[in-house]
Amino acid sequence: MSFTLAIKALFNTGISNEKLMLDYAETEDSKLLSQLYDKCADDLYHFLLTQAGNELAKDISQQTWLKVIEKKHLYRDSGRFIAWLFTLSRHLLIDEFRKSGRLSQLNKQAELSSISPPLTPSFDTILAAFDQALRTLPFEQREAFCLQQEGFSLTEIASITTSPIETIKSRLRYAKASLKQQLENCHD
Amino acid sequence: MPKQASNNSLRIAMTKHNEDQQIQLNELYQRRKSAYKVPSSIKRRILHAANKKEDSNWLNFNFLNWTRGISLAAATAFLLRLIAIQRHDIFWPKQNNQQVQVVEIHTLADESQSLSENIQIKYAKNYQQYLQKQEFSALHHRKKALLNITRAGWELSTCNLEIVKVSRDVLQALSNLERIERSLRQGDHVDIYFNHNGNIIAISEAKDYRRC
Repeated sequence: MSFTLAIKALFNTGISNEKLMLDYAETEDSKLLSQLYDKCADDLYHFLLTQAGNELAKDISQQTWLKVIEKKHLYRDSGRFIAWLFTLSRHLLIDEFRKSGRLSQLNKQAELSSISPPLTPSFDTILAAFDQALRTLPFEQREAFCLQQEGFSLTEIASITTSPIETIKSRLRYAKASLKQQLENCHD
Repeated sequence: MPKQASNNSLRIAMTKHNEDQQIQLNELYQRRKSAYKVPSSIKRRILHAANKKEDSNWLNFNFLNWTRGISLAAATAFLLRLIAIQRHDIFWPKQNNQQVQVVEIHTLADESQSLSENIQIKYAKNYQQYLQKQEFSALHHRKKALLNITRAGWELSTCNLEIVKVSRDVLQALSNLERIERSLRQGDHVDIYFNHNGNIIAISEAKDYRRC
C-alpha cells in the first residue's frame, strides 16, 4: 500500500516529497514548502485529529510544520519525508501529553470521545459507527491502525512509534478485530 | 473428504469475509479522512514564518557579505601598506627618523661668483685635464645613493644619511668623460665611485638593491 501511495504521490506533481524537502532545505524557497504542505498537511492533520482532538491537532500540526522549517537541515534522504514528518509530529504530541499529565491515561478506552466531538450527523450510519469505533480504541491501537491506513509499512510504524514490529502487529490485530466487531454490531 | 472440502470452503469464505471487512475499513477510513481538511489559517501562518525566516537569512547573508567585504578590503589595504613600509625600510632604513647631514662637495656654483669668467674656463679645462691625468678611475670606495635631480644638479642621498650635491658643472665634466650613465632618472638607485682623494669618478646605476 505504501508503495502504491508513493507512486501516486510521485505522479501527482512530478516531484517527490523527498526531492521537494531536500530542495527546500537547500534553497529555503517557501514555494517548495508550500507544495510539500499541500501534499502532506491533510494526512498529518487527520492523524493528529484522530489521536488528540480538534484544538490540539491544530496546535501540533502547526508546531510540526514550524519544526520542519527549523530542522530542515537535519532531513536526510534516507527515508520517506512523510515518515520523518509524522515522527516529528508524534514526538510533539507525546511531549504535549506529558506536559498536560495525560500520558498515563492514553490507553484508556473512550479517551478521544471526551475531547473530540463526533462526526457531523449528516454522515451515514455506518460511517458514524466507524468513527465511534475508532474513537473508542486504545491510543496505541488507534495510532497503529491510522498509520497503516496512511500507507506506512510495519517497519515505518515501528520507527515512528519507537515500538518493536511484533508489538505493532499485535496492536493492529487487536485494533482491526475491535473495529470489525463494532461494525458488525452496528449491522446487527 | 467431504468434511475437508467443507472446511476449505469455510476457510475460503472466512478469508473472503476478512478481505471484505478490510476493504470496508479502508474505505471508511478514507471517507472519514476526506471529511477533515486542515484549516487554511495554519498554512498562512507556516508560510509567513517561512518567509520571515527566509528574509532574515537573506539579511544575515548580506550583512555577513558586507562585513566580510569591508574586513577583507581593510586587511588588504593594511597588508599593502605594511609591504610598502617594509620595502622603504629595506632600501632607506631610519632616514625618516633621523636628521640628515648635508654635505656639499664638487660644487662650482660659488666659484663663478668669486672668479672671473676666464679663470672659470681655465679652471674647468685644467680640472678636466687634471681628472684625466690623475687616473682617477682607480676606485677607492663606493657609496650607494638615491638620485634626486634638482635645478642646481643632482642630490644623492647616501646610506650614511648624507646628501651629496653634485653641481651641473661637475656633472657636465663627468659626462664629457663618460663617467655618468645618461639613462639615470629621478629616484634611481645609484652607486657613487670615489677615488682615494674623495673625488667622484663615476656615477652609475646600482647593481643591486641590497640593504645599506
